[in-house]
Amino acid sequence: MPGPRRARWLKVDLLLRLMLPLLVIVAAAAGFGAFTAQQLTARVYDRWLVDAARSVAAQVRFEQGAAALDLPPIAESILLFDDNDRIYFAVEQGGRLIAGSAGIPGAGENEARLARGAAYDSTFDGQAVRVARVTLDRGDAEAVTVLVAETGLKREHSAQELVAVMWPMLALIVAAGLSILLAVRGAVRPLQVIASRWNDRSPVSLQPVGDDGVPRELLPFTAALNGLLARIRGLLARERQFAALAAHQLRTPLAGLQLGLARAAKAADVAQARAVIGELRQATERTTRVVHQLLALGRIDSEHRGDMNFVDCDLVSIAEDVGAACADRALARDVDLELVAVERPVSALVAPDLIAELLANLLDNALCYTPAAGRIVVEVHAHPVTIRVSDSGPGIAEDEREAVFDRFVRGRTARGEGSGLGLAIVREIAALHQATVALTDSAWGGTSVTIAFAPA
Amino acid sequence: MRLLLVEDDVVIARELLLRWSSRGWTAQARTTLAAAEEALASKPGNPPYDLIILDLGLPDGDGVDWLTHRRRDDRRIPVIMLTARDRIADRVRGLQSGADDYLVKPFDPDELDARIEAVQRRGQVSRGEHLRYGRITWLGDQGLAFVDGRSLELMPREFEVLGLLLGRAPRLLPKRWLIDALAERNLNLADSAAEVYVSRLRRKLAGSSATIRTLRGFGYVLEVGVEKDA
Repeated sequence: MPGPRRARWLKVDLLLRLMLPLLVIVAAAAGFGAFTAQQLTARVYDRWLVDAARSVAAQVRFEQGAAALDLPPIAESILLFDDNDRIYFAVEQGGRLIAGSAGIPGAGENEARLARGAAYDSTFDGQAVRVARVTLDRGDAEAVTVLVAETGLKREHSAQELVAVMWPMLALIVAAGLSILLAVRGAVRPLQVIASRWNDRSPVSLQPVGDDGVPRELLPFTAALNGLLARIRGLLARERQFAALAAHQLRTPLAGLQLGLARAAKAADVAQARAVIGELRQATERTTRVVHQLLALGRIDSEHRGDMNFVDCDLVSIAEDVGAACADRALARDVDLELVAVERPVSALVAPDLIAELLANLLDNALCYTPAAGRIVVEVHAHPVTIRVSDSGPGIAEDEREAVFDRFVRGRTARGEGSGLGLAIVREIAALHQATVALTDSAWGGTSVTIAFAPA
Repeated sequence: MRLLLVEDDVVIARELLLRWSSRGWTAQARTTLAAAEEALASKPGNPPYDLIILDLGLPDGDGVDWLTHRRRDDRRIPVIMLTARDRIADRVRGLQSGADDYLVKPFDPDELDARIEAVQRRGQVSRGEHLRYGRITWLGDQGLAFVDGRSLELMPREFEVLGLLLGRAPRLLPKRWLIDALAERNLNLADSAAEVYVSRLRRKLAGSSATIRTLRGFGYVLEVGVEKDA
């Protein structure tokens, strides 16, 4: 995840994405417009210049092949008059100057071909000029060339006027930029408002945040945040409840131990003290069991909330391990503990720790309630995947079979050792595996608990 | 027996040392891995230990890592882990690191003693030493075993099975352990064959104070009458 330093500003991002294309588009439009206008005016001026040259050419007369210009002075002054530019002309035949100024170049750069003549850039008399050339070719006489040259002031002025046309474009850019800026700010503001609303809350508050005024696009985020907060609230409530229960479950046997120790300390003789200490030993074992089961429950709770780690396991191996761990207790009470697994391996996708915990609790219950020389059978079946623990204990009455799965609820036949947590653990682990738990009578009058896994 | 207890809890260490000294075992306690390392170093003043009882969460490190590291060059001294970590994954990790047994706190001290003795016995069996367990006498190097002073006529594989049972008693010898152990000794045999050896051994023990109890599907337990010293 990138750190805050590398995080991007949405506002900057939006501005860049909007402004850059706008600038490019406007600049391109302006450039293209200016270029086209420039071309157009240049062509218009060229046409005027060529027209002027054609007017001169119309005054050329031929006498026996020799050309002469018949231009009255008034006409010449009209022809050559211009407010800004200076205009020159020349009429030549076969390189000889017939009329006008000598030395106007007959060719130049940037030549533009028009309908009846040509125009090009050149220099005359030390000035840059645009020259129009019209050729009269009558066939019976040597060709006559009429040149009209004009300085470029008019053209420069018109180019400057074109630049002035660009100013409104600039104003357009500024106006567009400002409105984009305002639009982006306006669009981003709800984000900032929501962020500050969330941040202004007490840092420990887990209450949901309101979604009034939140744009539609942001509703999923609000919903996700509220969902997360709800999960955290649920988790905390569960933890608190668990801590309260755990405190009660641990304080009670500890209080018993304390009382017993006080009694042992005041015992009249060693024999009496030993008897009390013997009882205390059982109480200690009970406390140990409660601690273990509470820890297991706490673990299920946390795993339930976190990611479960399911792996492909052999349930028979798990049953063997758990059974072997319980074997000492079974042997001590002369209980016949048996594993029935016709097929092996019996593979299932499970959290092996939790399944072992489940089995350990089933066996623990069975060992608690099965009388000496009784019988406990663990079965693991493959079709469908099932684990069953049956015992020859007193059984659980039918009307209690639902309630015994609740935490700290114990059946009427329950004796001193249990905590009432075992079957709650079993049910929660089964639920995490989408497995069902069924309580039935065993073949020997005791209890049979069947865990059936959903088919894969 | 010389024991090294690596445990940083003062109460547990004191109680265990008192308990073991009254049993006639020589035990020393260390509170850190570094101190344990020093006690185990082969120096003239350091007599070798028979067994290490190792707590896992120690002030200067984790016992599992320490043992894993240690097992690279020393596989000799057996180790029993003593820990508050009760997950199966922890147990597996502990045993994989080279521990011979694993006991979760809080524990019954009698059970710890029984496990110490079983681990010790297992070592003696695998080294082919002589040992006595209740009314059974086992002469590993000679392939001889006696119950109630009477010699048992055992075939080599039955003798192996008795050794394995002795190494676990009074606890269950899981069936899988038995099969794996026999397979390790190149006795390529089916699951059912292991049962055959056990039942033959059981027949030969009939009438003696030793019996083999079966927990069907789980394994076997050697139950031996306690010898009353006159």
